[in-house]
Amino acid sequence: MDNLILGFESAVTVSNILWIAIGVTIGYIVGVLPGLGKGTAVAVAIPLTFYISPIAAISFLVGIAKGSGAGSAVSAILLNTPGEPSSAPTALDGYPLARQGKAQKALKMGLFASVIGDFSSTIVLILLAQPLAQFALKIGPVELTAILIFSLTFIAGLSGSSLSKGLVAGAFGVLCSTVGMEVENATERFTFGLLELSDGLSLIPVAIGMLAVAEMYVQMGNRVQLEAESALLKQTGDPADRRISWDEWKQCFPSILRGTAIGSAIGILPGLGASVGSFLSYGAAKRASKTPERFGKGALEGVAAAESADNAVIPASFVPLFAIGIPGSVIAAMLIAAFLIHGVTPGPRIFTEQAELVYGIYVSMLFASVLLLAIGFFGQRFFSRIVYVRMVFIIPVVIFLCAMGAYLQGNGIFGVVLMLIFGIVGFFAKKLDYSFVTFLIGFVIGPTLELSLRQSLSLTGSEISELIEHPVALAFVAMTVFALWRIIAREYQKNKIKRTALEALRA
Amino acid sequence: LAKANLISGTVLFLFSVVALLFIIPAQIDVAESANVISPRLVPIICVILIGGLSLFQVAKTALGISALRPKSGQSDSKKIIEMSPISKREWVALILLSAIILAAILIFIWLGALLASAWLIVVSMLVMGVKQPLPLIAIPAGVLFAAYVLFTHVLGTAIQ
Repeated sequence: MDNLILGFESAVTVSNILWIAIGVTIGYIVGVLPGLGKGTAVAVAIPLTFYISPIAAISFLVGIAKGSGAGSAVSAILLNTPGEPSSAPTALDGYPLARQGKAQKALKMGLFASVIGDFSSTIVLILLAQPLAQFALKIGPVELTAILIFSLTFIAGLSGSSLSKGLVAGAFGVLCSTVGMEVENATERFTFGLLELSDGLSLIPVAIGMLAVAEMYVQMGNRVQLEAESALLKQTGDPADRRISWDEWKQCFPSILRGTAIGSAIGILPGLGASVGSFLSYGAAKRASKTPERFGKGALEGVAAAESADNAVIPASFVPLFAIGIPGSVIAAMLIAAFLIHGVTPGPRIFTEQAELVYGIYVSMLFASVLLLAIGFFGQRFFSRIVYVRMVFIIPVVIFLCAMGAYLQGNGIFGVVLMLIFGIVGFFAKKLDYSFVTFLIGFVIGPTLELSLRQSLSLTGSEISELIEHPVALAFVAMTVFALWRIIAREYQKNKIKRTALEALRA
Repeated sequence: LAKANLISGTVLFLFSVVALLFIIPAQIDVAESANVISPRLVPIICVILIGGLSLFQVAKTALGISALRPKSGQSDSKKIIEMSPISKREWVALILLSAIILAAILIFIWLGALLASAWLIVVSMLVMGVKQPLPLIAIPAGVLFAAYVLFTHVLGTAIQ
């Protein structure tokens, strides 16, 4: 409690609240624009945070992530084009509601559900992260290696459609993290005689390239289709669509609570992501409904279920980040970069060494939820108009911001070159379904994984039988094998269904 | 996606072979003492993993293609095999945007940040079909001015 008061004191400053408000607003705008996700926005914004205090920096980025999560519902409801994949289930009922002249009602329910999911999930983060960190402090390098391998396998299996491709992406990420000076032997690796590579590949240009530039390639290729969808949008003027009745609240509240619980649970597990959360929550709401036939035709509970889970995932995904130092999502990986810029290493020790910072971030996250409600509610009309902005004006500006971000945080113009290279790599990864999420997480945890693996090999004398001395590590090895088995079985089933469908098509 | 899987799997497998045989030996020295864990260890593990899994992907896709191989008169299976995940428009966007960024890098080196930034925004808009002079002037001017104010006055830094 003392820590929370301490965090409150350091977080409640005019400048910090202003940065949160700016972050939420930028996030909301980016979320509204179809195709621009929170990963893109956070990656581009990280270099700006170098010049502000650590609490304001992290709060600003968290504000962007939260705003973007909520804003993506706007284009899903108005255009049937989700701002992010996790808002796809929102469009299933939101768009039919908009077509029925109830766009404002759907937008309001989307916002309220987002804020409730987000706020509750932040409470879950506050309650869970520190006890988990106390456990994490007791683990050694052998256990840490097993946990990291388990996390990477889990993320590889679940963040894309193919386990083998996911593992390739993860291995490629770890391989890229080995570029530069190796700490133990002071040996240069993959530097190709370039001085700029001695310190390794900088995370910011790599992340901006993989997330933002790759996305811009795709958006530029699909801009004609996106703009045609914007042109179809019609304004509704029915006053009945502007408020949510008490009966509708009562109808939606169980879906919001269920969605929050599902989103929080999914967020804590590394790699599952907001899309899994929102689809699961939508499915659960439909199954629980007495009138499931209304879903897909304009059920307000559908919007509430999807949005509450979508936004609950973000704060919960910081639990493994704060407690163990493992990023469970792209946003968490991006936050590691922001922490490192300010000389802070996330992980279990952060609660003892930087308690004021952590609790300041917690309080800022709660403030971000409140500001999300205020900015979303009062700015709804403005945000609804943003969907009209043409992609031909947005893409060049985003590309400029990307180049500027890469320049500032990646050894000058060499950072822009890196951004371009990883932009092209990211484009192919996206299109060929090699999970860029797994790549980035592999890239971020790579140095820790290598260090703990080396220490483990020294401790155990490279003897596998020594693992018996480390039951926690053994448990995680078993969990990795189990996860692999389950994911392979799921993929086999999916392929079988696909083959049967194709054979039926041919017959 | 089958053909794309086959190509990407083969490229990654070849990359892993080249990395294992040539790049790693040329770019990473061996450990100086037998008691020290080699700095090549993790890169080698990663490259073997990439190569092995890519080979597995190639084999899996090849088996899938042979199961789908079209019988006479069945063009749907062939279409599914040949289907590209990257559209023609996306290829064009990839090439054009990469060329614009590359040119901006060269302009930055030879002529400075202001011209490179203006080039990046204006040429991207022109390539995407913006022809009206107002946005072509107003957007780059507004964005560059905003960036200048943000970095020099709000954040207190400067882009050289």
